[in-house]
Amino acid sequence: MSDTSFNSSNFAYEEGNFTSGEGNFTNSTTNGTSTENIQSNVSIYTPVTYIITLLVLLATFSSFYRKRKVNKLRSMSSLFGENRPKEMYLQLKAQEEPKVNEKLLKTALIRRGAEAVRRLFKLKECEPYMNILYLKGYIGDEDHERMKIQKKLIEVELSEVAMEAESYKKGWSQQLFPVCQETTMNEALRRRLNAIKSREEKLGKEWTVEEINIGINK
Amino acid sequence: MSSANYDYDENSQTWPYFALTGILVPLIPATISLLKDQIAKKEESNDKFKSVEWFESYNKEDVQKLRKRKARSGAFFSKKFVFVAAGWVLVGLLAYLIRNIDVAVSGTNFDPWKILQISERATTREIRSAYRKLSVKYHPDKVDTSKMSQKEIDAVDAAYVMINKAYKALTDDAVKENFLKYGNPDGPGEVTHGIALPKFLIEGRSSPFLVAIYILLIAVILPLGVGKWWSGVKAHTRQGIYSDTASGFLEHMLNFDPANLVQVKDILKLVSEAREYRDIDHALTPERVYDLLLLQLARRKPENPADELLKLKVVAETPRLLLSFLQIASAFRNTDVCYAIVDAHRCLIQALDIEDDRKMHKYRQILQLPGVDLANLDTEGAPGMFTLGKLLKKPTEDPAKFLGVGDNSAKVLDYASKIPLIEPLDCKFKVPGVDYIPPSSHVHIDLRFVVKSAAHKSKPEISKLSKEQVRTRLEEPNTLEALRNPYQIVFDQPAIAMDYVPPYFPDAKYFSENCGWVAFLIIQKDGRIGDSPGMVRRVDLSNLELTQEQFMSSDAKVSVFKLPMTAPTPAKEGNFQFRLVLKNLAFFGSDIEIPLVMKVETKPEEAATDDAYGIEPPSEDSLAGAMAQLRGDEVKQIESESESESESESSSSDDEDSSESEWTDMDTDTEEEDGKK
Repeated sequence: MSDTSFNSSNFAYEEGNFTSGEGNFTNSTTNGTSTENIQSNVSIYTPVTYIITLLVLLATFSSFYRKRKVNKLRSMSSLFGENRPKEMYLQLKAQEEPKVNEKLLKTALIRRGAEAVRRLFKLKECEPYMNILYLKGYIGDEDHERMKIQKKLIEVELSEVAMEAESYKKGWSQQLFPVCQETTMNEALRRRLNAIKSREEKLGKEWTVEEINIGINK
Repeated sequence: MSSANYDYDENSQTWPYFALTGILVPLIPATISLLKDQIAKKEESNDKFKSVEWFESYNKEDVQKLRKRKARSGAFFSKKFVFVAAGWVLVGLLAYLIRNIDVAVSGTNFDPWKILQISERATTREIRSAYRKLSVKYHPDKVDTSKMSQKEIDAVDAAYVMINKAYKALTDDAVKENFLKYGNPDGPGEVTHGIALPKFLIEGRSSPFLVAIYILLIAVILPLGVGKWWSGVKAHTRQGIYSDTASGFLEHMLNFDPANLVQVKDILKLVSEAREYRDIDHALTPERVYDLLLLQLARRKPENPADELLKLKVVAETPRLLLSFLQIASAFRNTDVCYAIVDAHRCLIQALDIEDDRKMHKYRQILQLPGVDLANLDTEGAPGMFTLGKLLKKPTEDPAKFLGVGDNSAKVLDYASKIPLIEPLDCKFKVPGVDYIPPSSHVHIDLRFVVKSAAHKSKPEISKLSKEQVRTRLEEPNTLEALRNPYQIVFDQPAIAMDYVPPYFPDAKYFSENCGWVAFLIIQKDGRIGDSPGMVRRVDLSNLELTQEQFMSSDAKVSVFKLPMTAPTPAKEGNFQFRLVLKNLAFFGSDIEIPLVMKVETKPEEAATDDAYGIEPPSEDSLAGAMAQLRGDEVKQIESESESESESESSSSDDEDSSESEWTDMDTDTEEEDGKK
């Protein structure tokens, strides 16, 4: 049974070959010299169009992709929220009528520098924690990306502050950063001092002063 | 051969096999997992984690409704079950189809013994005689063909040819070789390529559909599926919460102001911003979620009583988020936030607001009992009855009168006595295999404790515990298995199984998985968290059923908890102070703090000399002797050279002290640099 089917398929195959051979033959006779005419079937524009289409497609894709990436970066919010001292300084500096006193501008710059220093410290402190979280998979890729961007932003911000300082007085940036650091420390201390009242209020809802005293005496 | 000449599966011989394989590949794992789930559920569902049936809480109806709904979602007749059942029905159908396929006879089915009607063990003589007999019978000249049709004549011819072939296949060497090699006496047959699709699908009117299906599958469904899976992976953290939610927690920790006191409500406010709540109901705003959570703490229904179910759904979702937040907060080593999160967790489960009212805060251990209400509590008559222990052991007033729960007071007291407390017997840092803490080694905290009820006084003395408990649980034998996996002993314990689920919390399943303790390691020096926290989930609670006498005597069971530390021990020698804090995730009054000292030291001298002189020196020509010599050289002369050698030796030699101390020293240098940052 298998033998017969084998034969028949073989036969069909040969037949096909024969007809196609015949086709070739007729083709070449009608058109005279064979090789040139086969080439003339494929126009010179075919590869050119192909390459142009390909290039255009690639170019659109890359520009689209880059735009999307930039948009995504732009839509990422800062890890630290808005930077008020910086905004304040820029607004004061941009104000034309009446012109802001230079002393005030310098103070605003110190505040801006202090905030930058605070962020630098905070990020230095928290970077290993965030790396651990990222390695464990507890935070997403985007947050890790944001942290890296934040690091760069802080560097840029610090150099910007230094440049601003130089514009007021040459060499001031050398003294500015120690001052900023002190300001940061002072503000941290002040925050704690100011929070005592609210802590007292909150804890007072749970404990009486007597109980706390008993706890201490124990 | 022309490639266009594929055969289709015209007789439906092949495609059922392909279809069967395609179905079985996903079906078998699905069935196994379904059965496993069912077995696990059956083991679980013996009268543990019941609802408190003797207390009618204000929202009992809705809580029950939600619990039932959650239980149903895991029931046997789930979507998964339907899928598996349908799969097996299909498998049955296909198997039926396959049974009915008669495989067409081809060269490969050539069986010379069968044709000659002899057994496979037949000798040459038997073969010959069988051949003679048959060839005489079927020879075209011998058969009377006059009355036969053409078809019958052909059949006789074919039979004769087959008989000849069979005979040759068994006797002629060349033909025999062909037969053995290819299964066909004519030599290698034609190799056919086919497509396992029925012909009507391809050449019939349905062929455009097939093409469309292929395009759909490859160009649409596959990329979409992969894309959806990937974006799902990206949108969720490993803890299963949305990355956005985790991002919110992270930002909060980064901008955390240590001056402010973190409280339960701050935590709840923060969690209420999670995106998970929008999956419950699109219209839920963070403010609304926060309000609902506060209502749960106040044990009140929303203004619109129909919203009660929504409130309970929100409440059921929250603890999971809190635990994820806990992981992030603990990575920031922030003890205050972690404690507040645990408090928030149990406030939600017990529906208690412990912050705004001093009395509520004070009586929180009593108020967590079902049915007890601050308004009915006799706080005047019994001053100072704040704790479960006081209530159960030496009440200053009759508990029935104090609790104000009417006839249920016995049941409430029973409930109270079933809240597990931890009584530590032994707690230390442990490095598997050694009885001291070498520097820069991997260490775990090893806590041995007895679970006790608040009704139990004091703790059983170790000398009174049963021998078996002391041997297997308290002093873990130093077997090879224990060394290989020191945590196995923890996993061998039963999971915590409480009798009741707290009446106000809607998700019984979550509670059953998270009613244990969370263990924090606090560094005494700065009061911050030293390592990632661990969960105490496997504890033997059988002690709770014991009477005081039984508890004090040999019936008490010892439980084990081990907290692995990710960071290695300090590189320098010295004593380091820690506290192990165990906080219960569900109940108030079951927390415990254990001070701990980590004494890091290099190997004591005398042990090393012990080994060196205690064992007779091996003879020089033995392998051990050669090794000892090598080691001796290395200690005296080439100390810097042989790091890798000493490492490989330490595993094979019996005294690894000299070599170990060497390469731990080496480690310390790098560790110190790491530690400095």
